Amino acid sequence: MGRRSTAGPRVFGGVTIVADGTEVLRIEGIHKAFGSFVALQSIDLTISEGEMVCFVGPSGCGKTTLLRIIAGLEEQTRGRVVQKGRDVSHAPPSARDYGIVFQSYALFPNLTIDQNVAYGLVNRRKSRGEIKSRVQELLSLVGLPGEGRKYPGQLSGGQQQRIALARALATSPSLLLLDEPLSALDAKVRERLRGEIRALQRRLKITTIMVTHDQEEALSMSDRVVVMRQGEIEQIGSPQDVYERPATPFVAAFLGKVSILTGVAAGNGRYKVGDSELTLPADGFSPGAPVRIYLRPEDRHIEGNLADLPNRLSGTVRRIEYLGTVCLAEVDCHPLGQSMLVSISLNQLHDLGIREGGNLAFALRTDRVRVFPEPSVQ
Amino acid sequence: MSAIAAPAAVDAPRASRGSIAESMATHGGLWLLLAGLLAFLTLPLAMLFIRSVEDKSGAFVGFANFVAYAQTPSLEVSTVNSLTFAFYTTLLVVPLAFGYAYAIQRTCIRWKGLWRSIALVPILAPSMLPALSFIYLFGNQGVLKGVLPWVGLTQIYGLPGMVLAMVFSAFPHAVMILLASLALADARLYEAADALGTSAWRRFLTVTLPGAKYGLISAMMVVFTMAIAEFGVPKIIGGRFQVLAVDVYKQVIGQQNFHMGAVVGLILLLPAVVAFVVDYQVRRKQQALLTTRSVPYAPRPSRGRDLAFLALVILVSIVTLGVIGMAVFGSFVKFWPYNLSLTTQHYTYGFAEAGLERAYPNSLVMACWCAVLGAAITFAGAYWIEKTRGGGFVKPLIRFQALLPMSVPGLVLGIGTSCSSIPRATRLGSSTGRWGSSSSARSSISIRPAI
Repeated sequence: MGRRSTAGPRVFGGVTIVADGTEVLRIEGIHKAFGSFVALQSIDLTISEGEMVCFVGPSGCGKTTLLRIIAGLEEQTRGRVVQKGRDVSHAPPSARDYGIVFQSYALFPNLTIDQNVAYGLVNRRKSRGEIKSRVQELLSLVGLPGEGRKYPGQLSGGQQQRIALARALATSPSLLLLDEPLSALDAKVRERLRGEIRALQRRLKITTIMVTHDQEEALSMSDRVVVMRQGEIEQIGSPQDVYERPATPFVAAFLGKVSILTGVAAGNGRYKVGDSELTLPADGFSPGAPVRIYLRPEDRHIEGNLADLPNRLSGTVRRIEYLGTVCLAEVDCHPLGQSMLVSISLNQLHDLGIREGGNLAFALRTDRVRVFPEPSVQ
Repeated sequence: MSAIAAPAAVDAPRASRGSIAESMATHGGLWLLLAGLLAFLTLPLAMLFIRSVEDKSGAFVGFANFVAYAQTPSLEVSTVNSLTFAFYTTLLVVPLAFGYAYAIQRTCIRWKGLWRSIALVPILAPSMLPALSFIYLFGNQGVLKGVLPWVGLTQIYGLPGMVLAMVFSAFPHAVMILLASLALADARLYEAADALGTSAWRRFLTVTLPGAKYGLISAMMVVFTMAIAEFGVPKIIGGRFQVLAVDVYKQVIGQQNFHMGAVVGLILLLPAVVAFVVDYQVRRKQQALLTTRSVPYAPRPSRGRDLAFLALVILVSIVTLGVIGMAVFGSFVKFWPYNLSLTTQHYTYGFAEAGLERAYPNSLVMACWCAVLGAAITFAGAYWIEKTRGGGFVKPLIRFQALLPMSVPGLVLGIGTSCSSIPRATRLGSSTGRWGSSSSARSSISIRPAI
């Protein structure tokens, strides 16, 4: 629901912040099998300096496994991991240059916050004074100065996760790995920390890979989104790319909401759906080919003079999902013989008097519509 | 929850008038249990206190017995000896048991089930058995007597033998506790440490050891308390090394001095109480080490480490089986150490002539009653406490008393029982001796699974 409001101004401007395009990490043909279960197959990916990349996908898609392979916590069955020109494919975690934050925080419960943050610095045999000032610096960086004497158990989840972030950043790694860092937190804290992590990442210009199953998180935080499914990459692109121009039906359905209309191509961008015919800016289907039309709830006009617009539809509002700023109406479109989701702002809901059981007329907005061939029946 | 609790709170004052009679009717079982615990647990302990401040005619003498105790040089020596014995035992058992448990829970050695079973074998044997075995092995006529000078010893009797035998007896208890405390760990902590470039040693100190801290403390307390209260080992292999547990036996059974026996009993109770309090504090502080988001740690193969721990486990297992085997072998030897030919005559002799015929069934009958009644009473008690409503102050009282045997060594309870079950100034009859021993056996049986 908050997708458009949070994601809108930040990334929909089409700006992709990639510092200079220097390659930091290259993944070549990574393949991972757990027994007979194939977790990853032939993954290729290049990540540039200063970039924030999100691996997103449903659980079991292999995103966490891929992150763990990059971290050296899991070993790939085949393939290479090259970090800054150095082949680290078989290097232990300690011989790779990264900081990692886990979903469960994984702070050492018996050590104070100071000791937790200093943990990696102590391993590097830094001087006491150096460690002290660096810990102070990091605690202020994550907004928790003066909490150093406490133990992790005395902090809230959000605070613990900031400490975990400080610990990961302490040794100034060239790569930051975040494994579902926000999943364990309350919605409010999650939203705030999302913004803070992104701001911090931009300020430090640190190359970051984040794993998440939350598409909203992926869209709002990253420069590039890697959508994964069943051990394979479905699409790589900017949040705008993957949301507005999904390459596959899976990506379209996974990121955001879609209505899927089944129809038959009639040639020249015309599609027969039920009793009506839609004209869409998508072609390449021979007449008679069964297709699926993917429409976002916001791909519609409902105000103004609809009479002049093509692809006019109307139907009965079966159900309204009240979400606050934006509401979703499920409309049974009579000529289509199918129902579809239409998003309505709260103002429109009141101004147009839209209610359950009432009638709703609208026209399709077709510039972002995607048409995919009907998947062959297996 | 609150909806249910509210009316109960309102009803409480009204119900309080007839509450004891009412509670007795509805919670008959609980009251019976309370009465039983009072009679057989609290009363003996109370008697111990009372006897300790009385003289032989039963008159109140304040701390005179304690003063007399403090002024008895031999008892002072015993106290120091008991503490030394318990200290060395703990010092040896806990690290050894930790290594053994670590091998089973945190390495990739093979046949873990086998090693686990072997470690627990000594639990089945009475503590006298290793003491006897060590005499067979290292005693004056021992087969391995020649080894002693290598480690700077002239004989096994006394502290060295006691510690060895006690290490053997206490080992399975410590292993069980440490196996449990090493069973679960958060894999993410290890990964976080690895990602931060941590050496194996520092990782052990900052992740593994703190994770097992409570188990370690618990194991230390249990082993120390066991050693302090141990009677069989010092009696058999202790030589002239006096300890409190034997003294108390001498005072009560030998000299009929119940009052001094009670004093020593209370002193024996002291470390147990300290251990209990420490354990309670530690448990209260213990926070959940694993949350729902933790990922259980699974060790990965590491050749060097696995081989080293396999060697440790095999060594300990060989010694364990060797010590037990020695006792078994000894029981078949004709006349140790002069005639090593094998015979079953000790068994036939033991059963036919040495009174074993009567004693063995007695032990079995006692054990059966303990098993049957103990299980039934414990189950019924737990059921009444957990599955019935109300009961008021009875439940917390039972709970507290149920914890008592965990901290009270069986020996102390035995003395308490013999203090309370005979009229003052009556000569000790054979029946009371049996009563006392069965009571202490009962409590020690209930202690072990509880820990």
